[in-house]
Amino acid sequence: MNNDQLLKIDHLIQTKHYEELSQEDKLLIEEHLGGKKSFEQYRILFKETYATQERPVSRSVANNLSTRFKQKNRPVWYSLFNYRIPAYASIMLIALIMTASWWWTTNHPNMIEVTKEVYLPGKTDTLLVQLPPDTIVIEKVIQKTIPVYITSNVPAEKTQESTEGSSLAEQQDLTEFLVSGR
Amino acid sequence: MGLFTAYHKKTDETLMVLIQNGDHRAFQNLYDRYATRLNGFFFKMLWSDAEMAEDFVQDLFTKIIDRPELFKAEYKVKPWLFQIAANMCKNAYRKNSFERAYRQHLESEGIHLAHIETKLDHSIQFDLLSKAMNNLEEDNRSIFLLRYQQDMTIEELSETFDIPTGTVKSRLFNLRKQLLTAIEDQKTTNHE
Repeated sequence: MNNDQLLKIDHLIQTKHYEELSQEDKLLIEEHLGGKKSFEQYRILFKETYATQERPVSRSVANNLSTRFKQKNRPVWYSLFNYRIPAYASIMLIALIMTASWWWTTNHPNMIEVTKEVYLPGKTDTLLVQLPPDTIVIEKVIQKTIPVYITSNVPAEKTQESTEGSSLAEQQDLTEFLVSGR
Repeated sequence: MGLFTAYHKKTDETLMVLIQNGDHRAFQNLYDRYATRLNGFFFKMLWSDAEMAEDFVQDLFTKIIDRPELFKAEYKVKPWLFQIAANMCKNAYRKNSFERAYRQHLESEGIHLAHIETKLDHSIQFDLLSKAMNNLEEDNRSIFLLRYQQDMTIEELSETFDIPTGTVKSRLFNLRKQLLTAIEDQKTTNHE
């Protein structure tokens, strides 16, 4: 019996009743198994065997294995923080790491102090003051420098004006403007 | 949900590689795919002892957890798993025959220790097929079960037992005959 025949006979036994076989298949069965009786016996044998293919495993086995797997494959940081160094040191280390990571990841604004003269029209207010006669009035101008803080995320500076990316119409407008000077 | 679906789609071999990298979900998936089938195989191989079969399933997966590096990239998972299972059964047979011999030795000297009784005598399900299979040699029983219970191909069996496909075929052919004859004999005995 060659490989194909063995597989074919197996397939026939597993899938068909003897009556469903073609004439050719019946001849094959008779030649190798000996006829209907043997065929049906083999069919029962295979069916019974296949019926036991799966058997449920209790949940506790799965749980034990799962726990074991997790324990064995704990990440390094887990064992480091839980077994290698004391708890207070772990907490301090975590706090330090969190602060450092916040510092490095937060986008800090650039604070620039610029002194600028700002023209403010004189603001006058009328105040009625009753002064005794012959009082000398001295006018005093109080100047106060107010610091102005400009907060900005400075973009990368362009070293050269470029027309790259602008449309042809825009480029023409720019050229005309530069030539005409208007 | 997408993550879980992705694991279901992965091949056994990919899952094994993930297990080697400590992926818990991959292990869970491989377990779900094979635990019940291995349990069915062990149950039939180990004298229909349900408790022992479950212990063996646990032992087998424990081996995978402890030494996942035993799986090599060129292996196929299914034949590899059942090869381990068959070897475990071989050891169990050896242990069992040793226990039996020891018990017989004790009995011959007039010592009877009840607790040494093997589970074999109590747990066999006395259906005809089980009886006939229990009379097969351990290798033959594995090869028969892997083919007709676990639906393994001739090539997979050849890989599992490290024998040529021709040998697998001839052994299967003889085994089927042997089993059928054994079942027929038992039927005749029962009728008598």
